[in-house]
Amino acid sequence: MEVDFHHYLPLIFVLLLGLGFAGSFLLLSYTFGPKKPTASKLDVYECGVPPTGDARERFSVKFFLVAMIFLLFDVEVVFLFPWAVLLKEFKAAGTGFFAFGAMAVFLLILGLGLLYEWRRGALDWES
Amino acid sequence: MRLDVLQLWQHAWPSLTLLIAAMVSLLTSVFPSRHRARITAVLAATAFLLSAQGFFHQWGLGEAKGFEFLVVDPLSNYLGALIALIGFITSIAAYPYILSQAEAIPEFFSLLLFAAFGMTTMVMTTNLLAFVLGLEIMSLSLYVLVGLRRYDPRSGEAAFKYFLLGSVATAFLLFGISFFYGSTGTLDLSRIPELLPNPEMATLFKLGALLILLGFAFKVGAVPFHFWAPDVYDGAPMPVTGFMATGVKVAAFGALIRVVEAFAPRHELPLQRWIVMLSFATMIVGNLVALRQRHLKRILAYSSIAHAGYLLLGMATLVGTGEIRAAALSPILFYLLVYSLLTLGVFSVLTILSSGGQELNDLKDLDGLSEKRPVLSAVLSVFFISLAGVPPTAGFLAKYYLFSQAIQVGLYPLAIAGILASAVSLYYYLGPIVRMYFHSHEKTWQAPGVMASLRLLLALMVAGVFYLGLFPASTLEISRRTVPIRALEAPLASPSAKLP
Repeated sequence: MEVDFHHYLPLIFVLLLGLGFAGSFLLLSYTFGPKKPTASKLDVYECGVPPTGDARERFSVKFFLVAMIFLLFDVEVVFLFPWAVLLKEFKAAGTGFFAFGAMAVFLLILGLGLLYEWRRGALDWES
Repeated sequence: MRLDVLQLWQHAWPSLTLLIAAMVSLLTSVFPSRHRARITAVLAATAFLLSAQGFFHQWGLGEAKGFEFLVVDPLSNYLGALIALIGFITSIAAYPYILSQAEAIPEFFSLLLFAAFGMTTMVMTTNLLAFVLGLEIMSLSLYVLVGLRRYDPRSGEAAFKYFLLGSVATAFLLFGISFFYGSTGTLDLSRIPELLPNPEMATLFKLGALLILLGFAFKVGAVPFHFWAPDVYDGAPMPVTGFMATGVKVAAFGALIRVVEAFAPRHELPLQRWIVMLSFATMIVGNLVALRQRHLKRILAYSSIAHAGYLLLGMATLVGTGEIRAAALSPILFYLLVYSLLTLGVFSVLTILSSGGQELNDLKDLDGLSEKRPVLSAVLSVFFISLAGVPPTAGFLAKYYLFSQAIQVGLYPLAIAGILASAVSLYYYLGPIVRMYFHSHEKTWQAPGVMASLRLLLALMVAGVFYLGLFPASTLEISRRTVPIRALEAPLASPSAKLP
């Protein structure tokens, strides 16, 4: 088979160039850089204060819940934004009602979801 | 546009009913009530029944209607009705089970509805994008359903495994679809016949088709992509296992019919050889490994793998006929119906036995059941015997039609392997029956009485097993008339896809 890969050649060059630069700098500083390790230099960096405990802690499941809900509504905005920008053009094309209705259904479904998680206590931190 | 929406509702309402019911049933938790579980269960059962009725009604109209993403034709309506009925039976059988759990979770019914909606979407489309959407709606709901017993580590393990391997399968499928799109410029399977063969893209096209097929093989649990099935079936709650063993199979095979139908005329694909190999391995391995299992759910998992092998044999027959014909398709559709009925029957009885708060697990748990629960034992035996394919029952006829069709197109080795494999299956289907009738009971099994509605349902299902076995003509006629209509009008005015 013959597929034209020539268009991708610059992309590969950029990739190789980036890898080469980053790799060579890392290698150079690793080989020629002076090394004087001390206890505080080898310490874990935790905002400049002495570290407290391991980083591999178990986090409360609530964090994941919040992250998930955040993701959901963040994606909602991703959909809403282009819709809001284009609504006038939809209206000019005579399909304004359809565009509005489609988004209304979408928001209704998301709103029901919000109502559900609210009533089920997903938004209460302490419970 | 407005008319389009109305039309869409008019033709796709049975499927949308499931979606709406799913959302409404989630809202029952907004108004806390003691009867939340009951309200949700009744809502789900009603929605499933309504939807099944709707699908059947639309099947009767017989017309094919193509929207941009949805296809409403007799095939989609037949499979949709089957999926809705599976959901109905599952929701009735699961109700006492859900109440018996340490945490009664009414969300079970919502998730069931969501999953069924995803399944109906899968069978109602020829567009691969819409198909993946349906697949993911179904899969995401099922991952949660499998992990429903969250205090049980085995349930969590099963959910995690299912999630990981299901994602891998979806990745395969998407990879294949992207190759397909790259080599043809369309995502719509119904466009394939108009495409001109393009030797430059032949390899990519072939690779795409192969990866799509492998993705399906994962989903239906075909050997060698079956390893997830026993573990997941084993850890999942009993009613969920039943739902997965039937609903997912119906949806995946329904979609596979469309894929096979689309790819069959492309002679550059060795489609039949691929499917024959899959079918061969699946029938042999599924049946042989089932012999060695000691856990009831694992036996049933391998049994469902074996049945996927028989169905793949039907698929190979479908390719062999070249042109899609009712003669090749109707045995598959009939088999799907019978297999769903029998498997759901087995799982309904097992769900009843697990409704005492304790999950039925080991084969030993069935010891001497016939003394304590004679009726349930008899019902369970009927389903098991029929699954093995013993003559007066539906299971025999379904297999007979499938194998005889394969012989008619000349797939002799495959048909012989299938017949031998199903003879072997008799052994492990009789195992539980022997346990129930000829072993004395050591364990006092706690299971509550059976709801009247569930009794009626089980009686109807047993009647169905014999009805389909003795008087199959009318049902076969239904499956014979369910021929997908290939030449759909192009949904929107767009340039017909040509290869680049």
